[in-house]
Amino acid sequence: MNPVQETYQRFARLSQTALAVGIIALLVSAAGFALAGKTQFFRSYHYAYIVWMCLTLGTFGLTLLHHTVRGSWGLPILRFLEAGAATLPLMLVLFLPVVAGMSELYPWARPEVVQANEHLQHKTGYLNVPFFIVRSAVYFAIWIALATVLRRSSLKQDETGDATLLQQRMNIGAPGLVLFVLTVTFAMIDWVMSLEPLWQSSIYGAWFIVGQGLSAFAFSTTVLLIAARHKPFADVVNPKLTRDLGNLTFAFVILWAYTSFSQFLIMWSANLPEEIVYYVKRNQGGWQYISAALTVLQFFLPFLLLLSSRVKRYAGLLLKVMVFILVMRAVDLFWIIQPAFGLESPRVHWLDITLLAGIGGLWLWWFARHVCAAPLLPRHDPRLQEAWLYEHSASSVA
Amino acid sequence: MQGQIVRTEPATELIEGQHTYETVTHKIGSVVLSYRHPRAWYVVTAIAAFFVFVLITSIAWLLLRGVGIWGINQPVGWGFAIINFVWWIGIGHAGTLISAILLLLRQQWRTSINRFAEAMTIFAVMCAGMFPLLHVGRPWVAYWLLPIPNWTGAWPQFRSPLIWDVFAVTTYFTVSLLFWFTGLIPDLATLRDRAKNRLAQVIFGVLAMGWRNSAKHWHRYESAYLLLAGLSTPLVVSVHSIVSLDFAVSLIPGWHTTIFPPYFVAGAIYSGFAMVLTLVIPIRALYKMQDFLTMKHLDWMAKIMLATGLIVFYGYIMEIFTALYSANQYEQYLITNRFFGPYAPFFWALLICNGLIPQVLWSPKVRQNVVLLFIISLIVNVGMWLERFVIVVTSLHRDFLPSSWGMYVPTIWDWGLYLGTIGFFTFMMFLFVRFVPMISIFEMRDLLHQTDRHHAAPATGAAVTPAASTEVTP
Repeated sequence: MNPVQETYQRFARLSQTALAVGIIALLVSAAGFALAGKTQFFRSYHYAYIVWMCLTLGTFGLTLLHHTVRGSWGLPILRFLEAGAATLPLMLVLFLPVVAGMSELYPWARPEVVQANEHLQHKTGYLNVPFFIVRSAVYFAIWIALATVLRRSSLKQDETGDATLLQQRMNIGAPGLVLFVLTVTFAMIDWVMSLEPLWQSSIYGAWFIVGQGLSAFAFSTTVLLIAARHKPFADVVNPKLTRDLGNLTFAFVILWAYTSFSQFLIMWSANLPEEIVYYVKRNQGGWQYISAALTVLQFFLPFLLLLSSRVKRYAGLLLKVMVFILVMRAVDLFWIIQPAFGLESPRVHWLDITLLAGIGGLWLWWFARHVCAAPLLPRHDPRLQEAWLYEHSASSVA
Repeated sequence: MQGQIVRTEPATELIEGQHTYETVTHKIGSVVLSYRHPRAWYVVTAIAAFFVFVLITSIAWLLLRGVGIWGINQPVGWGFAIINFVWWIGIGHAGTLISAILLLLRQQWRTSINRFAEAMTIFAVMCAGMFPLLHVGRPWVAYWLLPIPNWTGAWPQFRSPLIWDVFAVTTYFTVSLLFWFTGLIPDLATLRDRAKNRLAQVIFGVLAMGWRNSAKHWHRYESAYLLLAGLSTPLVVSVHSIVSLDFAVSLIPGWHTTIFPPYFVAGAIYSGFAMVLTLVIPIRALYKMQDFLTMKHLDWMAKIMLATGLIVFYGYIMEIFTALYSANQYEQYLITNRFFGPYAPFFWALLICNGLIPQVLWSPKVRQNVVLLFIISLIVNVGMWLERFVIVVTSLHRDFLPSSWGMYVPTIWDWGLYLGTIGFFTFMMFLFVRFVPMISIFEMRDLLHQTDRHHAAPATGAAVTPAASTEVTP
């Protein structure tokens, strides 16, 4: 068996293992539905779903970005990004329990709560169950359509080598990115921000999009660096590429801090009761330690590590940083979502873990299957030749 | 469709025509060293000089009479002074983005526009700085803004973004100036060596600071330049973020919104690129620099303008959505007031100038049309000024209490100062073009070297496909 086929086999094994883990974890979680009650189940489910959805949207966003700006950094990870975006139909199916649990999750979806609150009554024009479902359907339709067209075009080019397809993807990518930013903004407002329906922030969409980009860079670099121990990825990973991916992740770490701090500073200075409540909740009862940890561990630590060219040069070191960032992203979303449910101090319920593993298992199963379903590197993309040249110019340095 | 595909990959290069190192040096250097300038240069410089006098008159009268000669009043205490401050400082940002961020991103197309854009930054920050200094009312005690432990024991309010502005803008100006000057040194040495006139030799000689083109000089120069680029990069974001906080940390509807920092930064880059285009397009025609400032450069700048313009428009959408979603009557009234209030024409004009018209830049044909690009860049400049007008005036003139509502009308002195700074800016830019190489000579030679090597290398066809790629299929 040649080394490339072995790599395929590894992805196939990952897909089988992930599926098994996912099914077991979901079965355990289903038992949790009876044991811990449906409220807890839906809350844990919502959290786990958003964690994986952020990664999905991140990979999809980077696919669009890659086709728009055509940087050669994107070529070695393109198939991972595409496979990540290809999980959108799966995520649509997994969204159904969120819809089923709406009245458990969203205060505005409970008529008695709305009746008791005049402010919420003003918001019913936007925050109501049918409109929420219609909007979500529209988001998914746009995302799935765009992701499918781009994936198809990219695979077709691998077969036919037709270079005009590159331009075609670029023509879709740029307007696609505009649509992506708008739809993801509103999706995050609907799905996450409206958990606290009396609070709002206009940077919310940008904050989430940046966080998704960070997740996706960390994830795709992680997969690439693990896969780079074998062919064909071993041939494309070189210090120049890891430096580029490290620098892009670095940029997203900074952007995350920038958007987070902008939101915090503006709300803190104004100290308006309707806004500051968001940070008050998240800075008492033990949450303050998570807030501090996020600042130090999701910003300062990766910032300082990725500043060093040594970390970006050695795949082993960079891999550790990327995995760490991925873990911090899950903590970050825990800090965003759980206090919104009224969790007064940070407590991880076992359902949070099993559902994270359950949805994650299905996600990785689908992801690895899509990686296997195509050439591991975009073969006939003319820019890959650019990337090859890139490698050869760097090999003397390495 | 097929034709369009070919078009979006413009056939132009970063350097056009047949050039050698000598012709590059001569073409750019001779603009400074020769006395023959196009008549248009004299005409524009003279008109700009007239407006410099308008500026001096406006400032003199202001110092004699106080800020009462302006249109500011209660409730609109921040009139033209702040609008123009934000407008000018935003314009500067394109220069820093081009010179620092694009350098770090290894974008070759920055090379022929960076010198120009950096000069623009410096003069734009000078214009910007005048406004808050004059707006404080007693500019002769403006040094109170600095944390000098003075005899009164009064310290500035460190929690106020207005003080952060002082630090941000002075740092920005200093670093931009250093960056610009450092980048000029090798070219100043070239001019020193080529100048025939004794005075020019002495002046360029002093400014070149003993540059001898040695390997050691180049080594130090490269590290200094890279360090300054690293220092400038956060400044692209920090300055306008702090400017946005001047508004956003307040409680005023329309100002207090969390999208402001990224939205202001995008707006700054947007207006900055518009200004670069506004200046580059006529000057490239005037001095026949089409070989160095090619359609590819204009195309890139237009694309960045389109992208940042879309971010700005996203900012508008988020502002309006959040205000409506908030169910807060003051926020909602602000939106109503912007759309239908006494300043509504400004708001609609802003939407058209900043949001609607620049969308034609999606078309590659428009991006290849110099005249259209010039017109659009002017429209965006106007649009971005209107944006600052709308932000400042519509939020202030009608606040929470209808009894304290008012209107703002700028006076002739407001206009005098504003047009005066435009004159000053143009005047300085034209002097810059006359006395300093407007395009970096040595970087263009370097670019020529790199592109030549590129042509000499074997064509990047199928021949370079490595063997490994054939093994990729399952």
